[in-house]
Amino acid sequence: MMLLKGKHIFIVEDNIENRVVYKMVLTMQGAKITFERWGEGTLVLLKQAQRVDLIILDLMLTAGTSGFDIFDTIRSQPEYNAIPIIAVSASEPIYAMAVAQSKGFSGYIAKPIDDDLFPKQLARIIAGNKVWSIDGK
Amino acid sequence: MELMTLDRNRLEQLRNMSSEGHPEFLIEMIDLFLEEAERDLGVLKDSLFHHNADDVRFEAHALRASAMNLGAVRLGLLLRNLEEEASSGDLGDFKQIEAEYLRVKQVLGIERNHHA
Repeated sequence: MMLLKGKHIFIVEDNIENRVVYKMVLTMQGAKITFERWGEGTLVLLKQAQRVDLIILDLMLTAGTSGFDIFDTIRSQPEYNAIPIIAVSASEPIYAMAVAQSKGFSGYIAKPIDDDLFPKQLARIIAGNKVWSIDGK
Repeated sequence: MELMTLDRNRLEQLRNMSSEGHPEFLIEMIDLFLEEAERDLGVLKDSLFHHNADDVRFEAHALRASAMNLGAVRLGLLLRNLEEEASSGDLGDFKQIEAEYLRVKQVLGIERNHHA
């Protein structure tokens, strides 16, 4: 069974290796993926997308943008209030996870992701649950 | 020491990742890099032509990150130099970068054919 069949996942991630990992792990489970590399074009791309089921944010983008700032930008638009947003990051999880929780993220998953578990974690979040994972598990 | 077009150690790491249950990993990475690099180079050239230092810095940085991730160290160095001197960069710098990118593309193409 494809865990993410027909789901559209929007991912802000600047690292090419991580993008390839996401693409391989998630398309295998039937997801459609849109990548945004730097955060600056997030709203433009979201407006172009017909429907987004989940947004994944890296927290430390090399262009200097923070995933937390992108979260605020997205949530400032009422039409995107209902889309779950999670952080997948190599940041210090104790601090970053606390900030993510206080801001209203739907989850935090530490890198490196677990290839087998990750699609299940995303499916749970899309279903309305929250996932807080300090070690990718 | 002269820098290599592609860092063989990094390539070996990526090959190993491909052999660990995801045989298409390296091919996917090469294809994504080449696709994005062509686009980034177009924007970079345009930004240099219009002397837009902020955009030059941003695009050089963007492409450098991906180039270094694939082990294209000489291309990464050229882009870092341009990033640091974005306001004085010109199309001459771009020609050097473009020439090195074509070398990278050629080597990656050979690597891709080995794995396809």
